[in-house]
Order: sequence, then structure tokens, then C-alpha cells
Amino acid sequence: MTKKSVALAVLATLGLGASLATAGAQDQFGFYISAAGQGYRYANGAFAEVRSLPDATAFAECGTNASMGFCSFVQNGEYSSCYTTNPATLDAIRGMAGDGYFSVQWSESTAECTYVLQYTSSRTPTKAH
Amino acid sequence: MSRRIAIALWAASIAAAVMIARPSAERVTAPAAPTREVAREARVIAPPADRLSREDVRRAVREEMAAAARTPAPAGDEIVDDANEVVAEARTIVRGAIDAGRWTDASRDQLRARMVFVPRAELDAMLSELFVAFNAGHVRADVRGPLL
Repeated sequence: MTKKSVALAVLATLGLGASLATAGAQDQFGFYISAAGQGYRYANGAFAEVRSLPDATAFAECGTNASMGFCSFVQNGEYSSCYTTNPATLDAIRGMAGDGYFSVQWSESTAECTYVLQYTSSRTPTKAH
Repeated sequence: MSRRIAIALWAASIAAAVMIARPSAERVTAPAAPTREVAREARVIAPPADRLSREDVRRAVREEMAAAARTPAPAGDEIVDDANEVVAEARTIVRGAIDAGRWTDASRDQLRARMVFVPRAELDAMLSELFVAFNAGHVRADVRGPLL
């Protein structure tokens, strides 16, 4: 076995190890807030991705108490938020996970959260610990 | 002779009876029984539950019921007034923040304390007013941690 073939074998082994370590498809969902002026707005993204954005002011968060819930989003310094007292929507917010994907829509006229999707997938990046 | 024997037996039986009736040395040196005051105090501090008579229980229930009857229940109007007052306070907190252009930790904490008492329709109206103001940039969320 020549030195060249040994080096190739080592590189192949290292490459296989690296690919196994990152096995599984991953998507980048980004963080997107729709433009105003349509009567409703929405924010889509994955919490883990929002954490690692270069925009230091960007954040996404949702919370509930016994009677109401809310979500807030900041991107490029613009603040957007919505609230809900709808029990089904409160349950959806309560099901959110730190590694999860979210899609939240709200009415521009009332600021009520009209749609909340919480989605957990192996394709979303994991939360940094 | 037999008379003497009879007298001796009589005397012996009297002596035996006296000896039996006399308290023994152990009885004399036994600890004294608790005084009446101590015994009463012990009963008050820790009454054994298994010694409560039915009459004790009846008396306790009657006393509790009598005490409850003496406590005036709030009238219906008073309850409604209190609820209206809490809703009015919550509304004042939200309007005050909108007028000031700032939603602070204090605003949030004050609303939190009242939120559970605010009916859903009223809460919807207040939160809508506040969140529309947030989104329009009229009110700045100046809080550490959660908005609400």
C-alpha cells in the first residue's frame, strides 16, 4: 500500500465520520414577518434559527397564562405582536417547543392572533445548549 | 382453755384485717396524682380524639354554625361593584400606558394582578387596544421578560 493510498483511506474515513455526525436532512426556515397593509400579518420561523440570526435585536417569543396568551416578534427593529384569549389558540401556544417551528398570523385591526401553528421536526435546527 | 383459744383466734383475725387494710410502703411513696389544674390544662391542650363524645361534636358544630351566621355575607351588589372596580382599574392601567407611550414592568405587574378577574370580553377589548398600539409603534414595550 502506497503512502498515497493510505492518505486517501484516512480522508475517506474522516469524511464518512463527518457525514454520519450530520446525518438527517435539515432545512433552514429563516425568520420572516409579512408586510403590513393586507389586513393581516404573519410571522414564520424556527426559534433556534432566530436565536442565531446576525440581527442582535431579533427575537420571537410566545407565552400564555390562565386566561390569555401572546406572541411577539422583532425583526430589523420592528415590533409586532398579537394576543389571544381563545382556548384552542392558547393550547397551540402552550404546545410550542424551544426547537420548534412557528407560524403565527394576526389581524392588523385587532391584533388578535388568528392562527397559531407549532411544529416540531427533526429538520429544524436544535436549540443550542 | 377453749375460751382462751377462741379469744386468741379473734385477736389474730383482727390484727390480720388491720394489716391488710393498711396502705403498703409502695403506695405511700408512689408519685402524687396530678393536681386538678394540671389535669384540666392537659385536657385543653391535647384532647384525645377518641374521647370526644357525640355531644362534644354537636356542640362544636353548633358553635361554628352560629359563628358563620353572625358573619355578614357580602351582598350581591357589593360583589358586582368589586368586579366592576377591578375591571375599571385594569382599563385604567392599559389606557395609562397607552397615554404614556410606555408599557413597563410596573404596568405589566399591575395588570397581571387583575387579569384573572377581568371577564373575557373586557380582556379582549383591553388587550386589543394595547397590542394595536404596540404594533403601531405608539407604545414601546419597555419590559424585562414577558410582555404580560
